[in-house]
Amino acid sequence: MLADNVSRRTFLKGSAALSTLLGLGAIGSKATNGLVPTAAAKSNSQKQQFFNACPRNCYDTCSIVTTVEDGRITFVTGNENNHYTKGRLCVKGNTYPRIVYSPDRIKYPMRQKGRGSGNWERISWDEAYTIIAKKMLDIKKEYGNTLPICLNKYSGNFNILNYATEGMLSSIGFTTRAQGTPCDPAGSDAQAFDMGTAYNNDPEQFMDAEYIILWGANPAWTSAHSMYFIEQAKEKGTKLVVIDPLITQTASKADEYIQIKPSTDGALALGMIRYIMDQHLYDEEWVNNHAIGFHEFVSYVKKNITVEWAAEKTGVPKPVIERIAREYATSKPANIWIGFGMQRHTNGGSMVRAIDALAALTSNIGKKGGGVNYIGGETWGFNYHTMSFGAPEGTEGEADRYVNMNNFGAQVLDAQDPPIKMMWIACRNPIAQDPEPNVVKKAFDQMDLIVTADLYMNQTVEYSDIVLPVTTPFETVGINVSYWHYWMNANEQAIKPLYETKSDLEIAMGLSKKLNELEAGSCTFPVSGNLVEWVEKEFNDDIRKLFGVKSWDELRKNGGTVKASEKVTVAWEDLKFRTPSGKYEFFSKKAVEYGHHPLPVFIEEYKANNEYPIRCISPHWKLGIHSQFQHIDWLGAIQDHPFVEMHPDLAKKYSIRENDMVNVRNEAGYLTLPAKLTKTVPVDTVVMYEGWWKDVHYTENFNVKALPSDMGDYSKGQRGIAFHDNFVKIEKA
Amino acid sequence: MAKKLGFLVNIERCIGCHACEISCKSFYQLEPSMRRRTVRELPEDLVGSPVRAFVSTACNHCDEPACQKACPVGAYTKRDEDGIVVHNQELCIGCQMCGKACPYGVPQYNPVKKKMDKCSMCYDRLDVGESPICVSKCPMEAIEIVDYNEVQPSGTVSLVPTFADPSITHPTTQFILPKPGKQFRRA
Amino acid sequence: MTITQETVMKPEERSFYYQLFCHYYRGDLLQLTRKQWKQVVQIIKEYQYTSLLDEVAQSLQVLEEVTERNIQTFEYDYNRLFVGPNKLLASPFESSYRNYEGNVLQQETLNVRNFYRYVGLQVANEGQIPDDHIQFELEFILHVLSQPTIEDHRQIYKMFLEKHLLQWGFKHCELILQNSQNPITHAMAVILKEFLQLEGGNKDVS
Repeated sequence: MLADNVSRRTFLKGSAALSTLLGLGAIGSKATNGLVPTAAAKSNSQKQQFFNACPRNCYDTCSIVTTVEDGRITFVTGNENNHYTKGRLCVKGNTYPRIVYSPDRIKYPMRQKGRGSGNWERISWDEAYTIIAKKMLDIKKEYGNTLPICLNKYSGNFNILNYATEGMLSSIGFTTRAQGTPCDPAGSDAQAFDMGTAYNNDPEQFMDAEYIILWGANPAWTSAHSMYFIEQAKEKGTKLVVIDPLITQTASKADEYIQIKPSTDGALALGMIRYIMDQHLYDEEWVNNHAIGFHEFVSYVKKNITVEWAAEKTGVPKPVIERIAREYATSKPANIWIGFGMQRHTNGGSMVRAIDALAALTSNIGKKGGGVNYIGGETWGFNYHTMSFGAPEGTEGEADRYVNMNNFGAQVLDAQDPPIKMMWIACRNPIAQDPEPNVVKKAFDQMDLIVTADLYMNQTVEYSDIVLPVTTPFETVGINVSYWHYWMNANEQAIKPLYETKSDLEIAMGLSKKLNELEAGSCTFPVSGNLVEWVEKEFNDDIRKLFGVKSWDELRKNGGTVKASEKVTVAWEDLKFRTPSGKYEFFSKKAVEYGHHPLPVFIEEYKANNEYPIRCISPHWKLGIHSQFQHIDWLGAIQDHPFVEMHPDLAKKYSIRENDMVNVRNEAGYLTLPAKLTKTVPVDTVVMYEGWWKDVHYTENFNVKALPSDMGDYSKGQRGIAFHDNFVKIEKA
Repeated sequence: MAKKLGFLVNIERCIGCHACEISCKSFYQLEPSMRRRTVRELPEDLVGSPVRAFVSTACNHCDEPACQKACPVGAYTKRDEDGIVVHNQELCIGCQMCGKACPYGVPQYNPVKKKMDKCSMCYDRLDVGESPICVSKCPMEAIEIVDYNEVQPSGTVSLVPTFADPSITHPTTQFILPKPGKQFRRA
Repeated sequence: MTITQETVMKPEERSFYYQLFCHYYRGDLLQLTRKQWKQVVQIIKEYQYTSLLDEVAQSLQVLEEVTERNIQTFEYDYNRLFVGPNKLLASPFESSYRNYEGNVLQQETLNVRNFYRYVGLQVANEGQIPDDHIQFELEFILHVLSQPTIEDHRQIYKMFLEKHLLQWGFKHCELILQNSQNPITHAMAVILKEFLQLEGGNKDVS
């Protein structure tokens, strides 16, 4: 075909005309970033392995080994050096290659013309920084401060370097922050009142337990690696009891499953306590020496609690309560794991306090293999260097302003003097994850500018003005620890960032540079820096001592993962509690300070009304973490639509059959989804799993009201959400 | 004596998490619809009281493989040394006879390659002393490879609900059924 | 116009189309005014071999008649199809069409990379944007065509076309035609499809 010679002259005519018209050089010239002469031969074709860290909001926070060939990831799996991960990832972690290489990632900074219109134009990073920086400076000029700028960032990525987003905003002045967490506040406060802080035993110690009660926890779905240790313990003879309103996957594995009426767990714990007191099965020496307020607690229990009452309240037969109480009190060590689910009630914190008391009076606290385990933070003592730069000189005001993350929409709308005009969203998908999403949307409507940094299109990105493309863990550097196990994992950069993606830290540096260009001194955040140098700055002597490793570099060169010193893995082993008294506090003045009863008392549960008689629980789903993962098609091939679980007897009442579409409705909103009939849920409760947003125009939060749980202000600044005190009516759609 | 390798699937340990299925898919970079191992939900009254139970299955590497008998081009071989049933994709003509013959529906048609595909028990990994992906990646260690000529584990079964009659092809896979726990359910 | 087997596209015409689409996929045409689109059409019309094909002629007329509104929404539609941030409606990466589930940076990408390497080229910042983005494939062919005297290059041109661009170009155009909401992206897909047909020797190579 190319036999005839190219007529150079004619060729130039057409192409030259086009080039002239476009005002660009001919293709192939150096003007573009297209093809260039091959650089000196690189030898990147051999197989390499890198250590990564799964940064998701998950108990298991796995150490990962990533295989890279020709500069691309070919396999992602668990790191065997980490004895908790054990070389095995959960189903979600196994999908990481798809998450990195799906053609549908967000690739470039883009600006939407008309929020929610789907009309996006591509902009350069410089343009993005300029638009954002100018808006920030305009706001500062107009209001005299930067409080109209609001940050809503939380748990999408717990790489310690990702705190750069918070640091960047602190570096321009005082801003408004979404404060709190939807997750654990009531339980965390309860443990803070009782013991000074929430602090859990190493989950690998399930193997050392004589008796395990999983109380409202479903690790088979939410912490598969813990479930391994629990199953191993069970096989060597440890008794496994699961207390839960639902016959969860974990409950299905129990030696004994106890179905409890939702939100009455505190009554069960108090009933057990009454029996233990009556039978003198408690550790008198322990409560006398290591606790305060025990006598007050005894009077409360003797006066107000009977096992009969607890049986009535919880639906658990009296003989079962008594037997479980005896078994728990006489097995040493006995281990309780309190799940986040059971405190998502208006009385959740007080229930956790009652369970803590049960563990305390049987002296199961401070024992290897025992404990009343909820969450912990002993390994999180990094420098948080990214947050250390402070407000620019001459900044007006004294502190950031907080709005409650758990009632975000309403509080943003209510904020005055100054109002909130700009929102920065990172590591979060509030429109899918917040209660009452329609109110959140209204708050978005009030903004001049909404910037969202994310990996994939989702409902929040759809409703933003600017989207910034971010890196996956494999494309950046970091360091991660868990709020459950005791390992620290290095995250190496395994591949080049694809497209124009950047980490939150790089974004912070880029924006600071632009702010300083536009107004020198307007942002104290460093404008450049090497990511490895940044991560090394997170290490301090305490971390070095705790983990016995000198630096991030040493960690990555030596297996990528290291466990903290055994000393910290048994919570409260020294029995020096971090309460005001230094002892375990059955009677907490701190609780009184925050408006609660000083003792672990039973608070009546939130009740259904006649119009909305059915409880609707929205627990975590096995193929996702909040709004992450479930949209990945590998997992979609396993389950491609959301569903509502209901008992066949309940379904019959409404003439609902398997797979019939069901309307689930209350004052806040409604959604329509297919029914799955199962006897694993009680007859008065329906279950929808949390976080589903793919291919539907709703999330389970459409009918979740911003009803607060009872505690959270003390340790988290804000109360949690009583997600499971949600009542609905159902009808066949 | 030659080995008789087979899967031992511990349903008592299995939490239905699908990690075996997805790690296999990831490792072999299988097409979206292709699965060499699948996790299926079992009837919830399996042990009497309602539970969430799952079973993970792959090729059963049968003693009398129906796939091998049905294949017109001899793409299937049963290895002498360990009994692994290997499908040679080079020889496969995609006629799908094996898929129809297998009582477990194991061989799957790959519409992209126009060939059949099935689990090889990762024999190339076994040959170099590594365990199959599903075995080494199950978070619960619920899948094992057992030489059934050497060990005859007690309390195992070769039939689980919804599964075909083992007398047809004599599958090597054995299962450990879940033990029912006590349940106190609200009335 | 009917094309006889004997008719052969002139090399300069071929190169021109590669250049045109390379610019298009680089985003260089996104800012054109109505008047400039008319000029583009005039330049295309100089090449009668392709521009007189019925479907191409119709599309050129569409481009000549684009409205201000069409120009405004062109970029949005272009981004929905090729850029994001949404799930791409017509991915511009070869591997999205060729490998087992549309992942980028897979074996196909490395095969493409090898072609580039063979003639001493690579994507600037290799590994950042997958090498099989259509913009690079078009640029590669253009490069090879511009040095037809190198014996090897004719062969490379043919091989690359057959093994790569023609393997997925039609499916790509089909997706654009299915999902386009704008006359410009639609017309450009028609022109690309017709051009690729000619390149494939009027045979359905896909």
